[in-house]
Amino acid sequence: MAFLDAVRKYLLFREPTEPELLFESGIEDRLLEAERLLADSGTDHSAPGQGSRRSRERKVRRVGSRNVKKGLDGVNNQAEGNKQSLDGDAVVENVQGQARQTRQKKDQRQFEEMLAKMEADRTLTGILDAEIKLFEDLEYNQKILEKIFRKPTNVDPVFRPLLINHDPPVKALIVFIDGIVQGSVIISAILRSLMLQASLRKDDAPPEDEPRGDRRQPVKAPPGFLDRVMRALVAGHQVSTVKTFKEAVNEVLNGNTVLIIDGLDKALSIETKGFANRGVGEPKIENVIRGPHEALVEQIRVNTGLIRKILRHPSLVTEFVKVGDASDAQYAIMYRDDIANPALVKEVKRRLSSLKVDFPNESGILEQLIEDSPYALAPQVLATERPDRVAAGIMEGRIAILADNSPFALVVPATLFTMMQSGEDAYVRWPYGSFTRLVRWFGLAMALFLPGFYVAAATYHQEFIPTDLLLAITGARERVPFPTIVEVLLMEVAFELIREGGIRIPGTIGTTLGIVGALILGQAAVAANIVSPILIVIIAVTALGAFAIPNYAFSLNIRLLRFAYTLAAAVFGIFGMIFVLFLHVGALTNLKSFGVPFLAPLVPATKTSPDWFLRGHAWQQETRPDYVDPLSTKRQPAVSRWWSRKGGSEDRA
Amino acid sequence: MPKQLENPRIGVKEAIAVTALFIGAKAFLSYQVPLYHYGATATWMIPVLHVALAFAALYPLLWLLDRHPDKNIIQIGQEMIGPYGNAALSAFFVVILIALTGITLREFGERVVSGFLPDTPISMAVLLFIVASTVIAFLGFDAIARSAYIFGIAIAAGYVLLIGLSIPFWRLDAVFPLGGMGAKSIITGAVITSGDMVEIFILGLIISFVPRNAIRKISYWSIGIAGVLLASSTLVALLVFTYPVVSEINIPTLLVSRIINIGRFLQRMEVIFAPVWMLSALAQISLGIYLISSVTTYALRLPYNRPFILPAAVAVTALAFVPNNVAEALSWDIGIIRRYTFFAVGVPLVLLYGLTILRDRKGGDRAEKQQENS
Repeated sequence: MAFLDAVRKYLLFREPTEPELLFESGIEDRLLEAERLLADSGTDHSAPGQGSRRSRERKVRRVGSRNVKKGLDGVNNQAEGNKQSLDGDAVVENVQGQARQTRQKKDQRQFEEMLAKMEADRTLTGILDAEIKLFEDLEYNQKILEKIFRKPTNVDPVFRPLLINHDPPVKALIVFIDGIVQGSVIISAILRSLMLQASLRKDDAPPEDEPRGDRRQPVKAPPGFLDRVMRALVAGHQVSTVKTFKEAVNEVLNGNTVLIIDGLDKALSIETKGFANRGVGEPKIENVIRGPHEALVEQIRVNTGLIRKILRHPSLVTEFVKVGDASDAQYAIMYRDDIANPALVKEVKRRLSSLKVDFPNESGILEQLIEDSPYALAPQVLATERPDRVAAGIMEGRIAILADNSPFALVVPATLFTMMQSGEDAYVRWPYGSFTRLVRWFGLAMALFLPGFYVAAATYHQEFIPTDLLLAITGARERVPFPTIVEVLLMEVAFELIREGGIRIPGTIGTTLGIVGALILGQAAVAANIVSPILIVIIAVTALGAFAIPNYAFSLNIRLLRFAYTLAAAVFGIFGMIFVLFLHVGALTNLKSFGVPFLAPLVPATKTSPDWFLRGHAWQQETRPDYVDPLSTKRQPAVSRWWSRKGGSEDRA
Repeated sequence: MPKQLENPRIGVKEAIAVTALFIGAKAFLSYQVPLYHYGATATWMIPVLHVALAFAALYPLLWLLDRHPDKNIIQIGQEMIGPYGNAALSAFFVVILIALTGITLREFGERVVSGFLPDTPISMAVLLFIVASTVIAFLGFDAIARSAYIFGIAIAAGYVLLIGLSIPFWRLDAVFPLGGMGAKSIITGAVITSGDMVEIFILGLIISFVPRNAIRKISYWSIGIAGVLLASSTLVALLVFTYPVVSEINIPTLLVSRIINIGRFLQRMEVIFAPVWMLSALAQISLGIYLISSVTTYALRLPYNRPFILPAAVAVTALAFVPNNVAEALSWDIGIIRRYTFFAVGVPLVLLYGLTILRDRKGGDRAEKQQENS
């Protein structure tokens, strides 16, 4: 029978395993139960059915995690107190007391030294960089932080003292900056949780016979208390431990709330960011007809979310990179860990983290600091406001650099051909995409060469112009008193003024500017014989060509270079333009973006999908660009439209 | 190997483009003019024979390079004939390169002045060429080769367009009689003007910058493309102007572009020809300057070639101004450089070839003896 009972127990009974984490369901109640059992065992009156004292202790140990065990030591000591000699407790307390006193003295000395240093060094950078750890004493921490944040002069930082509703209560302090946090989160996740709902655990409760009044006195937090607060009491969705003043300051500056508890040399950072930002809107300069109409915004976390919304893959990595004196979480890089070349990732991080600047507050400044050739005219980084373009770049093995306070992401490495692409190229059918790209290249040629060619042809090479056209041009120029180059430069400068004014002018009177530009500078200049009508056409086509370039920085580069071509044409005719072209292309061949030749995949000729000059079929996009050297070059199999094969779907299945 | 010269590495396509332009750019100058005197209506055969001659000379060159892995001609000379002999050999190559580049510079400069900018002094025209070429040479061999590849596409497109637009002006009877003035005259002309292919010796220099296993492919393609360019330009000019008128023209390709007149709009196609012409000249001159500096660097076994770029440019410019006028420059080009240099360059290469064979034999005998002794 005994054997059968054993088999039955084995088959039907399992001793339940206790969850290890405190915040799992019912754990608080079980802790209380365990504590009560231990207290009962102290009187040696074991209740029937509750097992031996040793087994109950074992149960308690199972219940708590490692940190909880520390917390329970006090309970165990109390429970065993009646059994063990008082002499032993006194020795332990004496040793602990001496250690605490030593620590307090050391902290006090360090605190005083730090205060003295802070008085001497107003910038406090050396103190922050020294990675000084937080003190156990709350007052010391508060005073140091107040000094760092220039309280009381500075009104933005808020130091809110509180009592954690523990039994006995524990003094604490939350630090945050008003205006960049979500007040509701602080109230619900921190203040309410700690001040009202934290009295669930009684492990530090004094004996029943202790006077009630003493239990209201705040005490230093017991060991392991921070872990308990993080795991069980603070209801923040992202909580991390902070050990040094520098970390605490950075967290506060990033919009988080730092919770410092008396008696602990660590603090908690609770995610409470609430920076003011505009909502996700439409792109301002990269508009498309077909495709998503979302644009990046000024908040980095929103931008990472927008990109992650498109690329829902676990290998998409977002890494914060510390840049200069900026806060830790102001700059981030995003890449696909299984596609991006690790050497490229390392290089991007190296460039960013090695910057020694005080205020790289926008991606435009960052771009200038990390590009390969700062003296080159052409931009070597693709700045885009479209999350879908960022995602497409990441999928090709490129790396996106995001900066807080910037609605533009930087995609590296960039090439000439990426500058001439638009997101829409891929969203429309391939003939339309290819055609629009050709139109853009034509626009680029017009923007770059047309005024120069006009000057060269009108000044030196009249034989290049067909006779009828030459007669028309000559007739129109007959009454213009200026040489061609002066005429062209006048109109170019006027148009640049209109363009610059158009950007700065308030939107409501923008249309007025169009009228002023078109009528006064166009019609009136012709009527006044300042310029010839043919030049108005030339300048208009040039401007349209420049507007057709999808990348703003690259368009600026072309606008600037146009003057070089025009001036060269004025001096040496078309040969001057060719010399400038030779130098221009030669310089571009020498240009690199994060080590990748700017003219790739044209030169050096490298393998890529048919998506660099023209836009190929979607099913032809089989490989990633070789010049990025991705870990995985294959994007899709040779046959991606499997359904088009006979019985294809079954085969694939 | 010099450190600086180790770095540039270009692809096969870029190498083909730059070599083909260096050999074939003369098609846009007066290359065809002396040929018409030998070939008459069959002049187009002479460039074909030049290509055959180039291939014949190519094999010993490639053999030499195969026998000396990881070395270019200068380094082979260093190994085979010692530092003093190699200094003379390098100096000879430098002189040849300066002569080729300098005369090309002068001719292109003269054509700019006479054809397009008559009020511009020749010094300004030459200055333009030399400044642009020197800057690109300073940027490095990869910049030259990549520019040549990009412009090569534009040049090819422009050239094909030019030929296409000239078709209405072709007179197909211009190639008759097919044999011209006879085989003897054609072959004599091809041998006398063999210097037109002397540029192939740069394959022995640029081997340091290209994938070594692709040197055969680069050689065949570049000589082939240059041959097609030279032969087609000779033939098209002949078809348009016919013999003997064509033999009196200074720059036949430019004149072909000028004669185009289709409708009221497609007239005077220099607007297409000018960029083709100028870009090929610039690519050729910049490569010439770079090679002069790199030969000097290799010969002196120095780590960097950039300090020699400016002296090379000065030497080229100085030589460009030695002829008193364009006629004298042409006579230098046609009468001296294009007449003798192919064989003149061949002599040291044959010397290196022979010494390599001797060394291999001695090495083989020694190896056999060692084997027997062991």
